[in-house]
Parts: sequence; structure tokens; C-alpha cells
Amino acid sequence: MRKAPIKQELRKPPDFTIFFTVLILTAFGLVMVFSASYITALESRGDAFFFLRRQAFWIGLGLVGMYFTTNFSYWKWRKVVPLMLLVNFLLLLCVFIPGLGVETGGARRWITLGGPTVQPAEFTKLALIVFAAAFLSKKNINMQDFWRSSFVPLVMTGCSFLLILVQPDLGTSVALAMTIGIIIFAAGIPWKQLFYLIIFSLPLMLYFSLSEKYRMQRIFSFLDPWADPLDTGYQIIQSLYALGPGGLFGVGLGRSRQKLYYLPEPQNDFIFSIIGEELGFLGAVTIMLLFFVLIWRGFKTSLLAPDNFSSLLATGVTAMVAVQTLLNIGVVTGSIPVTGINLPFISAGGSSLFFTMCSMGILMNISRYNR
Amino acid sequence: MDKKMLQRTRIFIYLVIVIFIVLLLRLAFLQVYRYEYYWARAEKNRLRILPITAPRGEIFARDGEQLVTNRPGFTVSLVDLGQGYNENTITYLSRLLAMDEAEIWQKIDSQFYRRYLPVRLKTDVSMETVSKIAERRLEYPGVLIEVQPIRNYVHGKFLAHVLGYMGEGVVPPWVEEHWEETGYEYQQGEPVGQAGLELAWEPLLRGEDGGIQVEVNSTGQAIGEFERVEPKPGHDLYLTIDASLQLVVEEALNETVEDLMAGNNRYAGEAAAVVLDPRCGAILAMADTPVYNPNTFSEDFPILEQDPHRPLVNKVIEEHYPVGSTFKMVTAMAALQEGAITKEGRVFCGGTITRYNATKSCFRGTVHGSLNILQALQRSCNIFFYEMGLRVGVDTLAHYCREFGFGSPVGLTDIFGEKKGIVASREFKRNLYQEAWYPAETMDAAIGQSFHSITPLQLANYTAMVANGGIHYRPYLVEKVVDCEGNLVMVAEPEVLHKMEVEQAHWETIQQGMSLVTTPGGTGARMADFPVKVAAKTGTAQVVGRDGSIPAHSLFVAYAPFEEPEIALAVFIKHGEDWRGSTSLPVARKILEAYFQIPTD
Repeated sequence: MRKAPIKQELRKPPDFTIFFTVLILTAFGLVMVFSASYITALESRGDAFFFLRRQAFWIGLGLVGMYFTTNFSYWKWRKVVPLMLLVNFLLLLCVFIPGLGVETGGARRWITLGGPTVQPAEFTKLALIVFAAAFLSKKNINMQDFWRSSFVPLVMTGCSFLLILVQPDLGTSVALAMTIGIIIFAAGIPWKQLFYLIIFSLPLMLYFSLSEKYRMQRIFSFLDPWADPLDTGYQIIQSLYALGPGGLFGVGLGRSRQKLYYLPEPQNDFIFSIIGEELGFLGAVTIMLLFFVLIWRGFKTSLLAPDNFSSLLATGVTAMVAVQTLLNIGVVTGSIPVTGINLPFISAGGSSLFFTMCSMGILMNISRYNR
Repeated sequence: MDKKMLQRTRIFIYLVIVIFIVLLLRLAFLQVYRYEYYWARAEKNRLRILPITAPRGEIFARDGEQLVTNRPGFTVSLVDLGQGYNENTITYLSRLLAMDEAEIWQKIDSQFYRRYLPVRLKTDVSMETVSKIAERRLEYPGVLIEVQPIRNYVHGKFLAHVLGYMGEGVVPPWVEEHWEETGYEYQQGEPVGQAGLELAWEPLLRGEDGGIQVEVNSTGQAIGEFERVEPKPGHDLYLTIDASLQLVVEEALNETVEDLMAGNNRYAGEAAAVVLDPRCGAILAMADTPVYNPNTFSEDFPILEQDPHRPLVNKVIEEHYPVGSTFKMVTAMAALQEGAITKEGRVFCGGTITRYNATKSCFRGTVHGSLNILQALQRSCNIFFYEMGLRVGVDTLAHYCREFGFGSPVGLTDIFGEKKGIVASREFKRNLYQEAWYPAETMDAAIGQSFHSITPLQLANYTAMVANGGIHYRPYLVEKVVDCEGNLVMVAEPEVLHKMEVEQAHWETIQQGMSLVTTPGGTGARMADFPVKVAAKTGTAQVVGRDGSIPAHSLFVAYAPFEEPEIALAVFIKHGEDWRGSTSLPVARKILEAYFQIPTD
């Protein structure tokens, strides 16, 4: 086992497979965001290029961020952990401050200083991944001692989870919890502790999902969306009506009919349905394979990482992309409950796109020190 | 790197691979195995949103008389069932609805970005058409019959220019701008108020449309209703208009004009009258002739457009005319306030006057002898007012015109389109002819000839100002606005736009002069037997014709009762002063009889 820091001269070139996969995915996302949104954007904003322009702007910003993190030696992240945690909680609270927080569609998820809006929850994911990786890779950590190891990142995550949940943003909080869970698991939480953890959290989760009738309906509507086709089942039905008729080869780029108001905000969470409709099974599988390549290279980076911190960090950012991708595709294919989570690199997004690209930069930086 | 950590990370790789494979299989199941099932379902069974048009607010007269309401009508629409529009269906519909195919395609194209919505082709079709479509609906898929509220103007032409009409056209650009500023969104191609109250009150009259989400089958028939959002009806308007008085005014104007036209007066054909409350500016009646029938506006349009008497123009506010002697109170006020004459001061009328090389005579060459301002108003002596005009000068005269609300809109905003009219002045002549003002012209201006041109509403407002001592109230038509549940949304408040700063005694002088008009010896002596004391002024606006035989416009302004004025009115009959004498006076008399409920003989 080797120990950081490593001399600058030992750096290798980063894993370019990661870089090119990200590039292809974002470029593809740009095309699909335009295809999915131009009609609704023209109608509602009088500008067909609205989402295209915004997406291009954030991809540009993301590339700058990715370039920075690729060259920012990963062990330096350790030093900014307290600062990141502080900023995280401040931002999450800012959402609730009138004037700073922006309310859209009944949810307070964004903050603004007049310009573009930023979603603090996206930063939360990165901040907590770095924190959990840094904390659990400390020399004196004994994973057998639950209260002094796994419990700490769990508490931090729990607090953020609740703050994001009340926004409300179920999808992001679930993805966050799962990502941090994976880091704790990878760090080596004993099976016994894991068992107890699940036993204790199960009643809480059940209570939460069953406490409100609408929530339960929403969660289980994916099993039979036709039971309530205009409320809870609506999006799933519309998504299936997009995917199904797409067939093997799709109806052709730009020719989706479901994006014409059947599927609400087709450039966001349900963009994968539009891909499946326009480019067919083959197009959808191509995208899934690209994601698989990225995730596989991410875990490979983690396996070959020079130390525990970098390994956990690589696992964390890779898990984040994997969790979101699988949850998103699971939702749009009607395989799991609707959670409201976007497809990394592809869905129209601002801060989510930016922070995901920055995370990929971290991954690439770690890959420069791989054994 | 811990062995354990490596092991556990590997677990994830396997897990991710498994989930990926599951999702791939799921996708293959949906897109390949079940392709035909979903394709058929998506093509044939579509969720559609059928908008439910909100009923527009109704309009009532002040006495509760219903003027505008809605009735159910059938609308033929076309729905895209996923395969585009069927050529045969469109050919069939074009024949059935007597529309060009190109027109139908244009309607479809205009809705390209909302093509999940039905395209409305024709509203208010007959029951016969509906049953024809219903019989053959399997042959022609995608044709939909909806029941929609159709605007119903209960009394046809009654109050037409005030109420306006509905159309699917566009609104004037400035109205659109105004709506944009106030945040009112209107959809082009949707029915929208085109004139009168329908246009000006569109944002409140129009409710919020609702909608039903339905699943339609391959012929476009709804097979299941899912969610229904009820439309919110528009607000109701209660007007200041007194329906029974309005009816009297309209009938009197129509009869008068018909009589004139039947009597070989080929110039006659237009007339207007306004009655308002000088205590607040509320308009009690507002009529002109000819008008359109708002129920059949679009069918009648080609004829209306050709009519030389312009039924599309609201002559009360959108047209201005010479006013003749009804103007003389302006000159009288200018002369009194500027000290050109006192109440007692006298001028000798010898039938003619010669000043600045111009000789002008009194009306029809009458010789009035020596008279004071009261007698001058009573007998409408031109010589007296020529002299007054020359004493105060054209600039002062123009100033008093503007004080009385001439030369600019008087502020009616409940319906749009008020014209500003013309005040005779040096500037106006210079702009028109690039010529200087001749002093002799001041004489014409002083008796209401020259360039003066005034809307009937301005005339009535000015009469009200004489009656109430110089207060210019904003004229208004809408007394209150009530929502569909009966809650009060808005109540009109009288608004003072201007108050003339002149000696109170001068108002009394002029009022007294006007009251003498309806006494024996006055120009309105035909009103002498009227049981309520009426202050009035007659007017005969000469029109210079090539052969000199064009009948003059006939005007009459009045307010009553003299002591406590409740109504002020102005009547204008275009070319209404022929061999029979004034035709506006009998109209005014009928209005006053109706208002004071005096039985006619």
C-alpha cells in the first residue's frame, strides 16, 4: 500500500477513454436536448434555441471545470473538506431564503444571484463524496467501531438528505444516499453493521413512503400505470408510448411525437424516452454502452488507485454517475418508481452538468497516478 | 489499497453489469418484442386535451336588463389522430361547411405547434350539419363536434356600437401592446372582442378556459374522460346605460333619419345622441344610426362596409362634426370671464355686420335690435357673438374651447376609439393651409363655424359642464363588474378630470340664457310647454355646398331640470335641418319626456 503525496513528476497522462466518453455523451446530449426541446421552447419562450444555448453554455463551463479538476492533484481535496461541508450547508439553507432561493413549480431547489440559477444539491453530492472518502480513509479509522467511522458520514448525509428532501427533491436525495452508502460499503463496513443499518432504516423508509397516500400511489404507480393514467401513471405511460413505437431503429432524429406536449419537459428527466423513440433500441443501447464504458473505467481507476482516499473518491464519483444513470433508465422504462432524477451528461441541466463534469475531472486526475 | 476494498468494489462492478443487462432486456422487451403493441396503442389511443371554452361575462343595463349573454352552439373541429389529416375528410368538410380547402389547411397550419389540440373549423353550425357529420363519422375520422358558448346579443342592433362584437380576427396593434403591458395574454385566432365593450373589457369578460383530458379512439371519438378542469366564467358588466331610455333615443334617431330620407333628403342618413349625468359623468344613453347587428356581423360585413352611412363607425365618439350655434356658450363664457362684456352689456344687431372687409349677417337675415347676453343666447344672435369673438380674439376663444374639453378626447376609456376633434385656431390653420389667420375668421369661429369639429360626446360633456358649473367628469359606461359568484370586482367612482376656474356668477348667467331658449321667443320655443324647466341651445351647422342647397346639420343640447340638473344631452342629426326646421329638437324632447316620464300627447 502506497501513501500520498506522490511527486508531480510521477504523473502519467489521464485516462483518455474517460475523457472521450464524457465528450461524446455531452455532445450527444446537446443534440438530443435541442431535438427534444425546440418545439416547446419556441412555443413557451419564443426561442427554439433556448435550451440548446443554455446546454452549450454549461458544457463549456463544465469543460473548463473538468480541465481544472483533471490537473488539481486529488490529495489537495482533503484540505478543502471542511470548507466544502460549510459551503454545502450554507447553500442548502440559502434555498429557503427569500430573494436568494427561487421557487419553480412548487419546489425550492435553486438559488440565484440574478444570473443563472444554481442547484445546491448538485454541489452537495460532490462535497459529501469528498468528505466521506477523506474521512473513511483516515489512518486511525477503525471500521469495526461504527460510532466513530461509518456513523459520521451517515449523519452528514442524513442532514443534507433531509434538507434536500424538503425542497422537495426526492430523486437527488435518494441518489445522494445511495452514493454515500456505496462509499461506506466500499470502505469496508462490517456485514453485521450493514445488516443492522438496513433493519433500522427500513421502518423509517416504509413510514415515509406510506405516510402520505399520494406518495404511495406515486411510488407504486409504475407497476400499473394504466390504473391512474392522468396523474401518477401519466409520465410512465407517455414514456412507454415513446419508447415502444421507437422500435429497433427509431422514428428518426427530430421526429419524436411524444415531445409534443405529451411528455412534460422532454429535455429533462425523460430525455432517454425521446432518444429511444427517435433513435430506437439501437440508439438507446449505444448510449447505455457508453455509460457502461464510463462506469467500468471509473471502477477500474478505483481498483488501480494509489491509496485508500483516491480509491474511495474514484468509487464515489463513479457510483454517483452509475446510480443516476441506472435510476433514470429504470424510471423511464417503467421498471422502478418515478423518482425524478436526470440522466447525467444528457439531460438539460445547469449545475448538475457542471458538477458531474468536474467529478469526471477528479476521476481522470486519479487515473494519472494509477498503478 | 485494502484487499477488502478491492473485493467490495468488484461486487459493485458485477452489480452494475447485472442491472445494465436487466435494463437492456427491459428495453428490448419494450422496443422490440412489444413494439407492435405499443405502436398500435400509441397510434390509435391518444390522450387529447379538449379545451372547454369559458363562457364570457354577460352584460346588463343599469336596470338589470340583459343585453349580452351566451347560448350553446355546435363547433366543428378536426383532430390529428396521429396519421396527419385525411384529405378526403377535408374535402368533405369543405363542401359541408362551405369553406375553401385552402382555408381549412391554413387553420391547421396556424396551429402547428399545438397540433395535439383540435383545430376549430367553424363555430355555430346548424343542427342539420351536426347530424350529417354524426351519420358519417366512421367514414371521416377525426371530425369532432363540440358544444361551445356562442355570444348572443339579446336585442340585436340595440346598443350595438357600445357593446361591440366578437370575431376571430386580430385586435389593433396598440390594444395588443396595451394588453401586453397589463399582462393579458390573448391567443391569436381565438374569438376576441372586436369593438366597443367587448374589446375594451376583453380581459375581464373573458374567463379562463378549462379542459378535459380524454382518450380518443381511431375515429377521434372520446372513449374515456380522465380529468376535467372546469372553466372559469368571465366577469359580468353592469352598465350605466338606462335600457328604456336608450330604446327611446335609438327609436327617435331612427325614425327621424328615416323620415328625412323618405322626404327626399338625399344627404341625411346619420345621427347620434348622448345622454349623461352631469353630476358624475355616467352615460345613460349613447346611440347613433346606422349600426350593425353584432349577432350577424361577419355575414353582414360586405354590405356594412359598402354602406355610405358607415354603420361600422360609432358616430358618438369616432366622428366629429361642425356644431354651429350650440357652440355659443363657449364664446359667452370667454367674453364674460375675460371682461369683454358684462351681464348687462348690450350689442346692437342690425342684421349684418361688416368688419375687416367682410360682411356677415345674422341667421337668415334676422334683425334682433339691441340685446344683452341672455337675449343673445335665447335668440342665438350671430351678430352679438361675432362681436364677442372679435373682442376676445381667436386665441382666447381656442383656450376656452379646450377648457370645455374640445380638441382632445374627453376621457371615455370604457370603449376605445374616441376622436379628439378640431378646435379652430391659428396653429390648426397654419398646419392645414400654411396660411395666417384672418381676423374675419374669428367671427365664424365665435359662432361655431370655421374649423371647429366636435364629437357628439364632447358636445354632451360640454353641456354637462355648463350644467354643473365647469366640472369635467370622466364619462363612463361601466357602473360595476361582478364575478360569476356574484362578488363585486369593481365599482365605478366618478372622476374629476378638470375643473374650470371661472367666476361662479358667469355660470349662472349662461345657464339663465340657456333656460330662456325654451321660452316663447327663444329658438327652442317648441319646448315652452314642457312641464320641467329645461335649459337648452339649438344649433344649425351650415355646410357649404357647391349649389348651396345642402341641408345644414341639426343640433340640440340641453340639460334638465334647470335648478338641479340630472341629465345633460346632445343630439346631432346630420343634414337634418331641411325645410321642416330642426329635427334634433323633437328627438331631444322625446328623450326628456322619457326620462321625466311625461306622457306624450
